[in-house]
Amino acid sequence: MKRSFALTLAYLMLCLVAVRAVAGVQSPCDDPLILPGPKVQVFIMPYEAQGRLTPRGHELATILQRHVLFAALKYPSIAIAELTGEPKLCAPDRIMSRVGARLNDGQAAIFLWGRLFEQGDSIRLQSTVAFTMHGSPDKLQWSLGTDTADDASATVPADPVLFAARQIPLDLLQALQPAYREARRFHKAPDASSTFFDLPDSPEARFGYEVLEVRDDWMHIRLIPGGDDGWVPAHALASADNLKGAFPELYFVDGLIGYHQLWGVGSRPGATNPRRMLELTRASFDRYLQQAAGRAESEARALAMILKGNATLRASGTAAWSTETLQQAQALYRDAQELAPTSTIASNFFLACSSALCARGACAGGPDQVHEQYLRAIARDPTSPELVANLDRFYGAALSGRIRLSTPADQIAEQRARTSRVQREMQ
Amino acid sequence: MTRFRLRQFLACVVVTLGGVGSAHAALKNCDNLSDNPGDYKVVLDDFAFATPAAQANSELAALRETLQFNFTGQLDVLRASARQLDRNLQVPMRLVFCAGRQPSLDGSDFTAARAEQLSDERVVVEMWGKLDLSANAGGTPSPSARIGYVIPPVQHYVDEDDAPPVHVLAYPKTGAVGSIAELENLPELPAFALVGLGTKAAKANRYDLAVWAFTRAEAGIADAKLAGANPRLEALLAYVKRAACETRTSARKDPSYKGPLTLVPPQACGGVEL
Repeated sequence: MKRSFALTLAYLMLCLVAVRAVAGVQSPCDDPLILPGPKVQVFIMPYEAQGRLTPRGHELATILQRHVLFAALKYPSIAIAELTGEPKLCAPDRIMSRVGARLNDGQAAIFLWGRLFEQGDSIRLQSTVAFTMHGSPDKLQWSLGTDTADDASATVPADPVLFAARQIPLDLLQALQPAYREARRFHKAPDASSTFFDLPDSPEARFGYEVLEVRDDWMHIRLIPGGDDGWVPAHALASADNLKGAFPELYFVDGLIGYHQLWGVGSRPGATNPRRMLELTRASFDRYLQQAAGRAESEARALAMILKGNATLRASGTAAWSTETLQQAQALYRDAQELAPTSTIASNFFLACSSALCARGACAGGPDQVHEQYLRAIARDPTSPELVANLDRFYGAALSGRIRLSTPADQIAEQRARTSRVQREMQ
Repeated sequence: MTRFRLRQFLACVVVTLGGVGSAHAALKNCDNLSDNPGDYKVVLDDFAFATPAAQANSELAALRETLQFNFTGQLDVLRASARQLDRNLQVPMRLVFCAGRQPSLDGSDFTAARAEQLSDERVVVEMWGKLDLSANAGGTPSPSARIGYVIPPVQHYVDEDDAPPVHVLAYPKTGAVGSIAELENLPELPAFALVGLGTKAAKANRYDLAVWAFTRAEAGIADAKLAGANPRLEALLAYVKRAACETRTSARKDPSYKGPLTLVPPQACGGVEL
C-alpha cells in the first residue's frame, strides 16, 4: 500500500497524563490543535486520576495512550493530539465544543477520555469515547421509493459511549516493554534489521510527526521540528495484544478511525482502497466485540456492531447499494439487536435497512414480519421520532405497492393516517 | 451534574466516610429534597464505617476507594441517561447528596409514610452504604461493604410481593463472572433509578416516559444480572416487563393520549414477554 507524499500530517503530542501536568506548561487543552487537512482527528484527553499514581502506574497510563496513537497511524489522513492541562481546562464538554466549532465540513473528531485508579498490583480504567462528523449527522438513508422524502433513515446519536471499568495488572508493563521499545525506533528503511535511532523516552517529550508514506505496515515519518526521518513499524504496539485484551476500547477507537475514513469514500478521488479500509475497520470492531463479550456494556457492543454495518454500506460508495450489500449490513444490525435487545438505535437501523430490502422484495421473513417488528420496537420505545417516521414511510411504500403487506390496503391507509397524526403530535 | 459538583460530592463522600455510623439514630432528613419540586431525584446518602475499628482498617479504606471509583462510573452513566432524558423528553433528573443521612442497612427506616413522602418529592431511588469488618470462616475480621437501595415509588405504589422496593447487596459481589471488574461494578444504581422513574411516570399518565424508562431499566437489570442473579432482582425484572405492558394498555385506553403507543396493537400482560 503506497500513498502520495505528505498525504497525512499527524501530530502526536507525546506528553504526560494530566495528573503530572506541571503548572506553567502550555496546555493544549486550552487551545486544541486542529489541522485543516486530515479527515479524522483523534483527541486523547487526560485520564483523571483518583488518588496517587506510582511511577509504574504513570508508565502504564502513558503506554496506554501511546498505544492508541500508534495503532491509529495505520490509517491515512489522520491527526492525533494527546491533550494535557489542568482538569478544569480539559473538561470533555469544553474541548468537544471548541473542537467542533473549528472543524471543517467532512472532518471527523474522536474524543477519548476517562478515569484511572491504581490500587495494589493493578490499575483500573474507565473510558469514554465520543465522536462527531462536522457538517453532517451520522445518518444513513435507505431508498423506499422514487423520492428521497420517502427514504427510511437511521442516525447514530452523538451521545458519549461509556465502557465498563477495566482492571489491568501493573506487571503487564514489563511484558509491554519490548513492543514499546520497538515503537520508539526510527529505522533507516522499512526493515526491522536496518539501523535505527530511538526517540527519547521521557514522558515530557513532545513530537510532531508527518507521515510521508506507508508501506506494508511501516510508516515513513518525518519528525517536526528537526526534519529527521525514519521508518516506524505501525504494527509494533498493535502486536501487544495483551494490553488490548485488557483494554478493548483501544480496538473500538481503532474501528472508529477506520469508520470515519470510509465516510464519503466514493466521492474522494484517490482515496485509499475502501475494501482494505473496511477490512481494517471490521477487524478492529470484531476484536473489540470479542474482548468485551460478557461485560456490562451491551449498548457499546451493539453500537460497534451497528458501525460495522454502516461501514459495510459506506465502503460500497455513494451509489445505490446492491441487495447483497444491504443484506450484509442487515445481518450486522440484527446482531446488534441481539446484543442489546432494548436498544432503539439497533432496532431502528435494522428496520430501516430491512424496509429497503422489503422494497426490493428481498427481506427475509417477509414484510409482515418487519411490520410486526416496527410495532414491537415502538412498544418498547415510544419516544423515538425516527422510528415512527420510518414506520410512516414503510406504510407509504406499502400503499404504493413497493412493499407487499398481507394487510388490506384500506387498513394500511388507515394505519398510515394514524402514524402521520402521531408524527405531528411528536413534533 | 457538572464535574465540579461531582468533585464536591466525591469530596463529601471522602469526608463522610471518615465518620462512624450510629446504629440507632433517627434517620436524618435531607434538606435539599424540597428544592426543584418538578425534578425527578436520585438521592445519595453517606457511606459510613460501622465502627471505629472499621474506620481504622486499611483494607476497608482500600475497599472504599474501589467503591468510590466504580460508583463515580455509575454516576456518569446516570448523568448520561439524565441528559438524554432532558434532551428528548424535557424531563429533568438530578442527583441530590444528603450528607449525614445514614439509613439502617436493612432499609427498615423506609416506612410506608416515608416512602410516600419521598415518592411525592419525586425521589426515584435512594442509595446508601456501610463498610464493616465481619468475621470470615476462620473467625478473622474481614472487610466488607453493603450497599442499600430503596425505590420509593415502587414501595409506595406496588405490592411488595410484586416488586421488592429495597435491595441490599454485598460489595464487591461474589460469583463466577468473566471479569473481576464486573463484581465491582454497580449497574443497579441507574437501573433502579429508571424503575422508580417509570413507576412514577406511569402513575402520572406520562406513558411514553414510563415505557422508555421501564425498557431502559430492563437493560440495566440485565447488566446487573451479569454479576449474579438473585430472586429479588428477578422479581423486579418481572415487574418492569409487566409494568411496561400495563402502561401501554393504559395509554391505549386513555382518550387524551395521542402518542405512538396508539399504533401498537393490544397485548395481554399476563406472562408478558416482548
